[in-house]
Amino acid sequence: MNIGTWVLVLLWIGCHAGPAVASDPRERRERPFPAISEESVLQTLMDMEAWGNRVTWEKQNAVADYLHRRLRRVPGLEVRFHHYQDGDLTYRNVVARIPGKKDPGSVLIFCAHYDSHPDGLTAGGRAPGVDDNATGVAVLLEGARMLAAQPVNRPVELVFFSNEEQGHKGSKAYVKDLAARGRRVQGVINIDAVGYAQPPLAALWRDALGWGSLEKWQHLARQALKKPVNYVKAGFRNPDGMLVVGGRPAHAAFAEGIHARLKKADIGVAKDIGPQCG
Amino acid sequence: MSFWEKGYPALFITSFHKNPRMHTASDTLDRLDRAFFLRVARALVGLMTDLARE
Repeated sequence: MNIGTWVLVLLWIGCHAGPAVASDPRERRERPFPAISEESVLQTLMDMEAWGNRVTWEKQNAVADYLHRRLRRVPGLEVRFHHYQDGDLTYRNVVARIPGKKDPGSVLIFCAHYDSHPDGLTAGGRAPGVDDNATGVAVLLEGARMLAAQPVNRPVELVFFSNEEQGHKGSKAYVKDLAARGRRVQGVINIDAVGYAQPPLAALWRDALGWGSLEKWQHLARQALKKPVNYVKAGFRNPDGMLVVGGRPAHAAFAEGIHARLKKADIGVAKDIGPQCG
Repeated sequence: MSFWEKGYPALFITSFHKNPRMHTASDTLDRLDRAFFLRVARALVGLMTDLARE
């Protein structure tokens, strides 16, 4: 084979190394997972990317308004802003609450940060943050829609945090408020960057083949070499750990339960339970 | 994660270790693993509705 053919073969591998798509009819039959609106979820990703960055005060405010608007359109949700002060500026988390009869003094929390990381803005003039963390926001918005459409027993709060990438300021302020409200926390599930299963090698080939500059390629190579390389040893991917459920040792049983549930989705789930988490 | 500092039972769910473009200007939609993400989204929405129903 000449070089051109090899390039095509590698490109093909890069594009097809992903898991089988969810539309496989056997999966639909075997898995008890709900049908989501893929259109709505992908629309959220597009909307979030379109801000260019979600780093500055102005952008974060605009995104908070957007999330508030989206959530207000869902009947059955109690939607509010949670304000907090950072120096001279007021920032907002967005909270959607679904009342539940069982254990009304408690709360089950699902959360995701809506801001993006400032490094992209500094280095490249953009911080689109699609994986990190438009993906988490999209899951939470879709979850809100599905939860509001069916009976819910436990009180649930869906929380969209600002300033996670700048010292977890949004979640810190919310946790402080939560403690002040005296709610018993049933459990918290934080969804952060869940849209990428391809290993760096495939990404490198893609970039080397015209979707990135040489500088970018070198940057990616450095990044790849810094990462744990078990997926390289295993070939093109590590089937046991595409998604990680992480937590502290004190909550190992909770993590076990969630891990077991997600394993049924056949995504490839691993656990990372240790004091180093977070 | 802020919840851990207060001792709340909190977990994070992520695949960030797979993404070489984390925190860069090229964390864009065209680089996302869409099929994987949609599977994950379906599983996580299922998890949310299950836990809320318990």
